[in-house]
Amino acid sequence: MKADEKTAVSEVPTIQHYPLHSADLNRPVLPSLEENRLKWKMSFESGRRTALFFLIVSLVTFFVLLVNHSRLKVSNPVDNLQLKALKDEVAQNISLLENSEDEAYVENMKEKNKVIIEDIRDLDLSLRQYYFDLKSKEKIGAWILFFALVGFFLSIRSTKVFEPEIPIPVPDLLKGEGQFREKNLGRNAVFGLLVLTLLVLVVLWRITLRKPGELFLTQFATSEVADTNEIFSEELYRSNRPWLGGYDFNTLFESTLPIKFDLKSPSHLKWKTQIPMGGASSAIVWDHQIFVSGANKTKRALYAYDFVTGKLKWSLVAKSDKSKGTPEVFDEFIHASSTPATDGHRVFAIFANGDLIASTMKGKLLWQKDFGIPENDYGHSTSLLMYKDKLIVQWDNDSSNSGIYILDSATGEEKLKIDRSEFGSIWRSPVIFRGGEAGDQLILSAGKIVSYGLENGKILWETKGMTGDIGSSPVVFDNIVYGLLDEKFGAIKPLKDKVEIIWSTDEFTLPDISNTVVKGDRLWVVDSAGILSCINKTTGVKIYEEELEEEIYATPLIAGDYLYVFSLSGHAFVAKTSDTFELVEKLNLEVPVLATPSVFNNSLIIRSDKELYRIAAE
Amino acid sequence: MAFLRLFYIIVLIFWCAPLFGEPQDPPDFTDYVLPVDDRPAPRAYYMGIVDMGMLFLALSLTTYFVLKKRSRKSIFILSLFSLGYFGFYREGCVCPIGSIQNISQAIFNPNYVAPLVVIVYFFLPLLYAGLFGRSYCASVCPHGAIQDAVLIKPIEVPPWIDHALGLLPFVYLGLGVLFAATGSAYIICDYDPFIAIFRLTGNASMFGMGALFLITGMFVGRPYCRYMCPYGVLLRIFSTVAKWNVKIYPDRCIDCSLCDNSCPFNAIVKTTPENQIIKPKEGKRQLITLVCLTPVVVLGLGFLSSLATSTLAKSNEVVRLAFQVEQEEIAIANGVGLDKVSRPEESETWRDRFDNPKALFEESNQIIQSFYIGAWVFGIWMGIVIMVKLFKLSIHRIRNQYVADPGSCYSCGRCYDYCPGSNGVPVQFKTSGHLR
Repeated sequence: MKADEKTAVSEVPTIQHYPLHSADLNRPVLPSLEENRLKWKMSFESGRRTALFFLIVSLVTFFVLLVNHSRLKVSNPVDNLQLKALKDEVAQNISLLENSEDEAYVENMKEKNKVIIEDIRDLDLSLRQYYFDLKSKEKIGAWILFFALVGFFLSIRSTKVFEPEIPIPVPDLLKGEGQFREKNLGRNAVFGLLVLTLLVLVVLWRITLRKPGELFLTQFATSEVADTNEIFSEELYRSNRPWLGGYDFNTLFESTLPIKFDLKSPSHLKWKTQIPMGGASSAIVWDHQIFVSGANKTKRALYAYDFVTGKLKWSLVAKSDKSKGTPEVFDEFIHASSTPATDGHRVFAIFANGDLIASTMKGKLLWQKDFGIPENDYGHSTSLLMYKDKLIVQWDNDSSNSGIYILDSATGEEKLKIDRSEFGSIWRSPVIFRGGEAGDQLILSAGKIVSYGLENGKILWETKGMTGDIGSSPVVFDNIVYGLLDEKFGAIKPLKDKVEIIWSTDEFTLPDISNTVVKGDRLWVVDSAGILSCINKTTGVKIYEEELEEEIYATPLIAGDYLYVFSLSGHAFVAKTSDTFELVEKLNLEVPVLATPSVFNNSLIIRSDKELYRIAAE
Repeated sequence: MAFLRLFYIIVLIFWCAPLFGEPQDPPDFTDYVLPVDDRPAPRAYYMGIVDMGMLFLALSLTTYFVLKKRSRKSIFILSLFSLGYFGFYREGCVCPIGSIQNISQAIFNPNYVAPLVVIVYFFLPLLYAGLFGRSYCASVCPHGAIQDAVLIKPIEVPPWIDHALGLLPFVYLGLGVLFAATGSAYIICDYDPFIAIFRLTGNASMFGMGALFLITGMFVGRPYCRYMCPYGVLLRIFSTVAKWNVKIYPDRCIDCSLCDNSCPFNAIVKTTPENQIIKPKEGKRQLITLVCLTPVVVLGLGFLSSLATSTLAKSNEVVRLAFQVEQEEIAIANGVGLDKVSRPEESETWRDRFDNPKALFEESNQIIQSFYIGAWVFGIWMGIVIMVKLFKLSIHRIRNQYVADPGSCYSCGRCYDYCPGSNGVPVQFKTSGHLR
């Protein structure tokens, strides 16, 4: 301190007394008024004690509120696990009820559900009471805390009013220097803030370097094949399983499959995986991706699984118009009984409620079409089919929009519609006859077998078919179509504008649900009662007939020299493809098989209702 | 000064212009049906009128107490009433602080019309500030009142900290306007520290923030008002041109510095001592440096803010959704499948209803474009604010009396009672000659 400053400090100015004024309530008290000083001191003490009291009340209330809050956090009835478990149990029981025909069991379940529902009500009530009790306590606590804090601040402020301190005006002789110093420091601080702002902005810039969509559109959108209509070679189609039965519709494969296996042994079972929703549609395969559809009353989806690992790669849920309702179907599995189809760029699935979805091979929805709820006694079940860059949808039913729809596979745009209102509901899927004199033909079997030119939809020929609730579709082999015709089974040869019937016979049990499989000079058919017939495909003469005595829906398949027939009872019959029925194995799979299994790369892919299996030789 | 007043009036008029309009009816001859509003019924119209009347009354009374009666006690009692009415009864809404966002949105979004109450709540305190100083802060604002009520042991914040932190409200105002103008968020309301206390309900973070401010406010005068309040920025600007502002002393300053002791907000400008050291060369050099620095800082901050556009734009729900959908689309393209991606409800709802990523990306890019312009403006605003502050700190004025800084003074009236000259009684000092 400099000498002149010392002098200045020693000459502290003194303030003269002046009368109290009404505005002096907040003014510091003059120490000379002893009487008042004592009075104020007592007030100060009482104010301090009151403040302490309110502080303690506030802290205790705050602590209680904290405990209450932590209880509240975990006592929300909506999140209660016990309640959730009980609700799940009820839902599960209802689902079991719907699928059961045992009346005693149904009654028992209903009673059980009543008890659980009562338990849910009781538990829900007690949880809510507890929760809202805590809530009301929280509110009361908040008010107590509020008033305690108000009390605390009022009393603490009262102590400050009577605080026996007086600021004595002392000239700040350093304030000239101080002001400069303050401003310099302030400038530095503002510069510091500027630097901080720059740093923050740089960090914000580096956090997000792009706009939304940039990365996707530059790196991924081009790989989404949605805009291409490239048609793959026939060879590629044959090496994959693009739709039901494969490229030729004939379930004949050159693969080598194990003849003895079960769905539990790890020796042949490569993997087993769950399908989230059930169905009777078959699995299709393209480039080591397996596609299956699944649905229930409310939800429909297409799933893609990895062929090697069996892992679910993606699923695509159809966005249904909820207002249109649910179709009445013969059984739950009918909701997804139409087999999907793919052209290697896109994959398509149709469901019993008329929802058709088109996805990329990576599971991105390309387009969706709604055909509406079909008027169909059993439920829509015909499978999809691809022809070049077109998707063929057979939508034969009793509703007004019945017909064949040929859609642009890239956009879903309707290219052609063939009216087939005269046929009503049909459950037989269409097939394509390739390379005939009249070009490629689309053949549909019903009360009449009709062939349509695939380029223009014109009828090329027609012949008498077989009426009835039949699901068995024709099959094409060596330019001959084998299937049901004129209340018989026969072989026909499509020509340019007519058809030549090679043979027809009813000397064996005709297929009603499953399709025909052809190999060499023989063909095999099986009806839903399990009667397997082997026929000479050139003459139509029955070679043998065997009663398997099990209900069969899936089309038999041939791999190498063996015929595989799958039953609803969970058995697989493996027989030699010889002139006599030589049963090699009767395998107990323990799961009913409705959908025709698929064969790809020496692997058998079996779809049960909600499971997918891959079987291969070791 | 007269020019400045005229300028503010013109700005006010232009600011008001787009606000007066009617909400659009749905288009004719379409199937469009107005959605049923399931939110609680808005405050009754007549109560809105009452609120406006109460605001006017409170502002007028405060102005009377501050300028005419010069009574700290009356100001404090009125502030407790305002805390009760505007804070706890009205639950802190509508308040002028939050109304900045409504007004900003109304200006930049032609589909949004600000309600009359909001407009009045925004402009009336500004009008009073332009004429009488910050009457609103004195005893009308519930935010200020609650902080004033808990201020029990004020400690002086070092002025250099005050200078730096005092810029934060300008940043907050800039961000608040940017987010509201782009229809993205009302951050001023979202991060209001006292709203949970006024409503006696809210989540833990809201209460925590309020408690933090109140505990700080027991020792630091009005921390929210000084270092956060965006409306305070506007009031500060308007009150600098007020003709009838707070005067600590009725006649003359005796340089006792008691008023400086009494002010917990560092809002009193000190006198310049006789021993002031003037360094004109250094001052000139500083000013030249700042002049050269100004365009660099202003444009640099504008540019840098524009680079941060995408991050800033994430405050917008459409942009956030677009980023989320992009992640999902990439996952799909990689064959992962949507069910393997963690998805918020917004994404699921969007996929159910629209599911058109390209359209979403386009929409979000339009929003980002408006953010890009806004970010530039925000950066420039920040640059101007910082440079003005630096200029103010580099210019030294000779002052021969203590005055309340018209910008920073909250018109709380504390200094009135401390000023020996406030009661009109002449004060005699034994001085060493430093008083003028």
